[in-house]
Amino acid sequence: MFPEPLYRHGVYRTTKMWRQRKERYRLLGSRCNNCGQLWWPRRSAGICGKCNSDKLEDFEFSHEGEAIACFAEARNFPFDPLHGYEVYGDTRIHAMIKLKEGVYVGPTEIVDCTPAQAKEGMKVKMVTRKLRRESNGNWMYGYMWIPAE
Amino acid sequence: MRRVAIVGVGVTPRNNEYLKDSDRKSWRNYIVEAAYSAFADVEKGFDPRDIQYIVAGYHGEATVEAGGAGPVISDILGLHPVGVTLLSANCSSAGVCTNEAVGMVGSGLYDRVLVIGFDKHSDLYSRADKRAICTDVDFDYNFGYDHLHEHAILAQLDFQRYGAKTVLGVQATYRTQMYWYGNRNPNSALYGVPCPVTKEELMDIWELSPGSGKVNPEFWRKLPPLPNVTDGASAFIVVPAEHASQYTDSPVYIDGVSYKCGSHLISNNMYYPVPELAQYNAVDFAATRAAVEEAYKMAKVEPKDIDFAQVYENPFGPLVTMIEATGVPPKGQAAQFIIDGQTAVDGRLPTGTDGGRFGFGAPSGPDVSDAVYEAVIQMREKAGDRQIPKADVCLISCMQGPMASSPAMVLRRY
Repeated sequence: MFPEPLYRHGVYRTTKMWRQRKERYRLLGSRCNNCGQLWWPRRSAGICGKCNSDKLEDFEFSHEGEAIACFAEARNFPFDPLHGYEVYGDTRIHAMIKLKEGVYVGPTEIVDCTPAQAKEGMKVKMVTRKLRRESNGNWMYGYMWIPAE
Repeated sequence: MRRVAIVGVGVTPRNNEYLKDSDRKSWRNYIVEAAYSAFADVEKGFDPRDIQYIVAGYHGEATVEAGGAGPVISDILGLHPVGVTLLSANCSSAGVCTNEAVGMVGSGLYDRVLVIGFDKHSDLYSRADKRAICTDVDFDYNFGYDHLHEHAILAQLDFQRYGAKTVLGVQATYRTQMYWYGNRNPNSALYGVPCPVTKEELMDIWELSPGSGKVNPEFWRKLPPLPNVTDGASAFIVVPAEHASQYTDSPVYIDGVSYKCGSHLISNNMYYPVPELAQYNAVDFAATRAAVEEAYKMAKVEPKDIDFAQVYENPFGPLVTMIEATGVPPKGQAAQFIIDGQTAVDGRLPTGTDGGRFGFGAPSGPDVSDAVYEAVIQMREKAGDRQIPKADVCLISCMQGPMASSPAMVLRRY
């Protein structure tokens, strides 16, 4: 380390990630009490994007769905990965998931599975895993998906 | 609403010869070069001091280190105290600027507005971490996905919709076409770069084994590469049509503009429950369709009237949907339209005639002003070996992020 303090060493407070903990740990979204529309992610600003009502309530989605698009990002992927997300190995399987409620979550990551096993149409269920370290050193956790069958 | 016209255009080259000097230049240099090229381009002369307002756009986060750069732009151009609206809408930035400029001049608020798109990515050391975030951020970028990952997912959805052979056929056709145009444009990043393979050679090897339907990795290795994202700027001057003859005998009119937003989070683009968007999923690129429709309506044109186009040809996902959104190919046949060569110089809809956004060298912020530059050059019939046969009406569209928003405009030369 340098003996002098580093200029412009920006660190986010943990509160930014803490505010979204229910979404990341429990897949909490929103349901509009006026029109019934379900939303993922949660409409944290409080207005329904369909009917403009502010009568929204938290809604925990089922932790089950189906992979509708998958691809593996390995070392030979055509572009550099974002740094710090290789917690579970250097090959990440990216996907779009369609939840049982018909709402989509993505992009997101499938784990405990080889790239060859990851297929479109595969049934998956949610798990909570380490995403990366925050810039202040804390672990940030979030949802990932594992094969359900 | 007054009709508005473009009377001068300027661009910084993206060829290797020019960009080898890029370490000596900042975003300020590019802005000045593009703007003063536009002033010099005005046929009957233009005093920079006549500019009344500036609308400038850049990619956004992480590409230019400047806090509220409007006053800096007014200063470096020597135009104090002229005001600047500074926008950031990723690759759509200069398109949104055009919307603003047309509103300002069309409404009569100003008579001479300068539009600038600019970017300087290469000053950023850790690009892999800040590479064009342009996402919703909270539930994509913060989960380890950036712009290119999202396009890779969209490409998977393209494969599902069109099948591997068609997607690869589009890539082989359009990529070699970008080299054809780029080799004939001295400003292009592909200028002087020979295309290493033909479309036919690529399609001979696309399949891993005959009948398997699986993609041969060799196809991707042999697909002609596109240049890296470059640095640069482009600019144009917007005046009322009734004033245009003071400046030039060959004005280009902006007869239709639009800008529409979808969602930055691609899972929301799979289904968004409002009537204009609900009929489309992420690979349909709803924002472009809505923007093009509105721009056509404003310009009172139909797809049959469009002679050529400049669209956003991201190397992974949106090409087919961008061409589909022009409305020129028969519905659902945009992929075959491209494969059949209809976007080539002698096709029904020559597209990306400067090399295309990535073949020209796409810095993001100026992508749409680059496209305007090329459209004006084509309409003046000054495009040399890449001149298209009929350049009366042009559609320009673009996209922001993973199909999050789209500007569109219709240019006419009469």
